[in-house]
Amino acid sequence: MRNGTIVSRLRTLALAAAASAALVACASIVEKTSGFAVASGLMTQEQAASSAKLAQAVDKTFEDITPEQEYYIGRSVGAQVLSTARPYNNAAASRYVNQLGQALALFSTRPETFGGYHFQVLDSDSINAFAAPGGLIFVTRGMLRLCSTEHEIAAVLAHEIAHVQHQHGLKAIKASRLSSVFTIIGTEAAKNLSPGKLQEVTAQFADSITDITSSLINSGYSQATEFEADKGAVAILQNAGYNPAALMSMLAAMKTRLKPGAPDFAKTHPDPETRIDRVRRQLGTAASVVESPQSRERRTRALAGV
Amino acid sequence: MKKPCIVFLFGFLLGLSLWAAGAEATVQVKETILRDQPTFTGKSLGILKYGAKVSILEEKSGWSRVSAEGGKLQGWVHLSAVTKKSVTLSSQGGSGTGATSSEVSLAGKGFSAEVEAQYRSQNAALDFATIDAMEKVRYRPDELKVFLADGGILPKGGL
Repeated sequence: MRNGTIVSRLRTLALAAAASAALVACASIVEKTSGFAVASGLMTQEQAASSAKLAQAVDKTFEDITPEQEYYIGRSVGAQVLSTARPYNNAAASRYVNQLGQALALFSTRPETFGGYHFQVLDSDSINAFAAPGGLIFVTRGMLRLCSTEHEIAAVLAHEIAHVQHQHGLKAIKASRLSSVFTIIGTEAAKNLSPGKLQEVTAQFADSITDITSSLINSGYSQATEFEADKGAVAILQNAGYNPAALMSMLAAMKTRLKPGAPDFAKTHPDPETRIDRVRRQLGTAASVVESPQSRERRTRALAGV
Repeated sequence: MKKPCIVFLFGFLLGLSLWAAGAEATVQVKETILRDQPTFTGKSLGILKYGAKVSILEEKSGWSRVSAEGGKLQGWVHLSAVTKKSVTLSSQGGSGTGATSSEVSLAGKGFSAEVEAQYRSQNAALDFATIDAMEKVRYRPDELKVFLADGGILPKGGL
């Protein structure tokens, strides 16, 4: 038995040694390739150094974005969303969507983000909702009017929370921007960036915000992304105690109201019928949506002005 | 032969539990509440701020039991509030070069307050006042529990 332990330890050591050898080999390939390129005049020393830096930075993805960085991205994306529609500042409506939305967020797989989940009604008749990274969520008056039960409003908000939970916004940022930002912050030791570097990072930040808002407002996410958000919404609704079938009834209502070519959900989301089919397959047989009298009463009171 | 085997197994299990217990984590959100139960309505034992270091003692269905403030506080935090990646607050001095992919999460760096300020100066028309106002709206989990109950909504596993 003792021999066996020693053998297995030796094996682990051998494996570790082999792994380090492989790593060293990889590093030296990068060096050698650059060295060859310099020697043969294909690259200057400076280019070689920066290519070695790129080789280190190239694997940065949205997963390397910290919740704090996500928070700042989300604030600016939110401000851009607000440039498409003014906020609808009605205290009762704001209180209602925040209580409902924040309650639902507790049942997501990511209840705590850097700055938390916050909801804002937009003064717009179009039927739409947006989620900025980190948890700033916007829903139009048109969308609230479309929903005929609290369960349906919950379905809309849960779909947006699922986008935040899966970080769909961050995934829209081009990888090249993240690589250059992480290269800068990896090499700048000072707390504050030098003016030149600050300009550089801000330019990448601005482009990242545009990457997200162009998906969010203009082109929409991929179908697979929307289906993933619907799937996440069903789980959130089920855990919170809302009827997930409300996602289907909301989509059915949407289908009758959306106008092709209008700047709303139709432009950025798959056909409601396709989404209904997917949700139905996930749910199997579902009980019909019944809103309790208390829910109906508070919803109609809170949204009277909407 | 049997005895050493049991001793070995015991030692292995002890080592494993110490290894799991020793796991360090860092609060990755502005602040999170340390609770006496692994639930959002658990009683608050204190508030842990961004960058606070904790040791994970136990993990259970989305929650971690942690020891904080050098062992003075023990309680539960939600897993989404902490990260096992190393977080270095930039006020403690950045690491300069040599950050590996698991350590690159330098707090306060990259897309930060400083970068937002610069972006705002270039986009003066953007409505950040509404964003700031949105962030102030915050309900406590116990208030949200009451909201759900008032509407006749009963969460599956409670809240």
